[in-house]
Amino acid sequence: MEYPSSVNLRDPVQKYSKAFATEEDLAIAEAVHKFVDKEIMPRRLDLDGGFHRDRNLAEKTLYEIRKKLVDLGWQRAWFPKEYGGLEMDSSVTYAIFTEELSRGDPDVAELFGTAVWGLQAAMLVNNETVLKRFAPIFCGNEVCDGCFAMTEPAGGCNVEDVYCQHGRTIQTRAELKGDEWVINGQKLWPGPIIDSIIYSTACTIDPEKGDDGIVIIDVPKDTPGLSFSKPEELMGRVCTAKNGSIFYDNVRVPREYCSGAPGGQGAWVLKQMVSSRFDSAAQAVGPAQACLEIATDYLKDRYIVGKPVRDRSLIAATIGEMAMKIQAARSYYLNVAYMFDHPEIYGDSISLQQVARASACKNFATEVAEWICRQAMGLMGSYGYSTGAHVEKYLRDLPIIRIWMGGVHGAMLDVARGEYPFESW
Amino acid sequence: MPDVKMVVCCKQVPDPEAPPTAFKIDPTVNKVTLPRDIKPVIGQYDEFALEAALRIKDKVGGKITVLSLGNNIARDVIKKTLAVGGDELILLEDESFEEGDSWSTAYALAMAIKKIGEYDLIFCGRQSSDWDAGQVGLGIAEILSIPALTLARKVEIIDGKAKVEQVISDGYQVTEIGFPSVITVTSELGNLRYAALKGIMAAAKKQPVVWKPADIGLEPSQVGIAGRRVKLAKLFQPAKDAKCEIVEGESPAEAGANLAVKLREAKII
Repeated sequence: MEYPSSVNLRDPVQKYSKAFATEEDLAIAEAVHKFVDKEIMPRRLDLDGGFHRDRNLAEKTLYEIRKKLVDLGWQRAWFPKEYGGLEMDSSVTYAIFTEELSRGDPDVAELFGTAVWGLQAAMLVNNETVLKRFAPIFCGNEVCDGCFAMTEPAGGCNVEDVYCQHGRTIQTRAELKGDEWVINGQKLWPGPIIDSIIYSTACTIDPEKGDDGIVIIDVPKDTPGLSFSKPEELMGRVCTAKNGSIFYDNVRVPREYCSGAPGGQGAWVLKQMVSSRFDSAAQAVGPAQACLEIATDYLKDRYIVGKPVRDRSLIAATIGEMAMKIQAARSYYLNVAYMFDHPEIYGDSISLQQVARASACKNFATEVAEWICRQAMGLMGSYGYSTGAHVEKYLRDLPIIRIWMGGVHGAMLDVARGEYPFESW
Repeated sequence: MPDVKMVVCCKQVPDPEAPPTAFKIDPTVNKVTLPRDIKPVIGQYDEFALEAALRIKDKVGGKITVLSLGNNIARDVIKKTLAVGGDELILLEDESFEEGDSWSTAYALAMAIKKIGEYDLIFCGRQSSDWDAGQVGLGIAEILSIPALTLARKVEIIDGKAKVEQVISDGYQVTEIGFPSVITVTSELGNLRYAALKGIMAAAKKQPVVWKPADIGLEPSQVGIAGRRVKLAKLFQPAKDAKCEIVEGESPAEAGANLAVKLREAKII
């Protein structure tokens, strides 16, 4: 029996360019791909609570899927070895992991990202006080949430527009009193609220100081003065996403819980923005790939006038266009992630050019992903609109990726800034 | 007993979950042809065999050497055996290994196991997931002159012996077998575990050892198609000829009676 080389572009080993992905990355892609096929695909509608929108079912399903991933080492992957992590540091690896997991469910992928975000600032400066206390929790065997709180009720994009606003619009104030930071203010939209181990909070010591006033302070859960709204009701991720408001009312944490002195922390916010934007692109490509596969398979067995629908040239051309856009979006984010990992070649990872690249790939990927989902729904007719076809859940889960991290237009301004000096809205 | 030395034989096969229509037979050359998008996988029964070895390693410790035979063995497929916990991967990889039968495959694997030297247990799937012959495991035992147990659904190491639950037609029987021996494993044992991230990272850094026929003391004429003892006379897809006859009657009762008569005539009832 002969084994011809595979040309199946669904195969994770085939679909990622080896110009960026290592052998280890491809093995990771394959492993996550199989996990998704066996553990998430058969249960993904239960992540919305199933037919009865049962929140208990959704939470149980989410926990069981995440626990299996925790047991396989994925939660500890990006933490330092000295705290029990595996110290993976490749953005390409993380993006590939995100796409594959997001193919099953983007919010499952998102929760692994936010877990790392909770301690990202501490890891960037090796804040031993914070890491010693909290990193081992994330490197243990229990499912953990972390949260990075940035956006505020008064103009969310202003906070995220570090290049233009320089943190001057941050209204959450931090004041150093003795050996403690005292925080007052409110954050809107971060997640997951309520159950996170730690809330990494972007504050200012003085808005007039701009970049020099930005501080990121890690606030443990159960800190007196920390409270939350109910999670917002959302269009997608209806049971799994827990985004809402965090209220800080004279919240006091030790001085050491601020990772670094004021002055350089605007750059860290920016770094978070850059990496999360190309990761967002990867998170959008996963559902797009899933919808392409669902539609292509469905149209093989759906006949019109004695012929499979996908064998009609009009339909084949649409499927081809869907695949083309996925390949372009995938290549785009892999390229940007690789550049981010190689500042020695492509410049500082928070340069205007890197911000522009990451923003462009996020906007492109999220736009084409939604287009692909809508195409899949259109090709499948009424069945595509039904819950059982899965496409509608992907279509509901996708738009938030386009909206978060500065929004569509904020990201587009950052793209423009890569071309010419553009200073204000 | 600590550190059981185990060899697990794993075969690369076309994905059995591919739709049957994807497989074509060319009767002029007696070969199965596959479309280009069917990816090879590790045979499912071989995965159960590997899981059996991993469970022993988990419980009492040991070393697992994975052995595979073929040509153009896909590294991303076979290295999964290292990612889940295999310690060493040896590939008998050469053009001359192609198109062997159960005998020539078992013979080459047995010679490779001899070269490995120290072994307590050899695990095989109960049969391959492509040809389903189910002879290689027992063939290895015969050639190495060691005992074998088949259809294991559970294997434990107790007092230097393997305690094996073997599936039988109406349940299972418990058997003990000493070292060294061959155990073939069936699906009731359970699926191969997922590869943990740490294992994937470690596997990416390892490379398989590749042996040619000469490395295991064999001539190319003794392996693969040249070493076959079974001649494949004819490979074909059986033509299905379904005839449908409507048995009628004046009433349902009469139609039933007529049907019964016809079934009796055909000696079905």
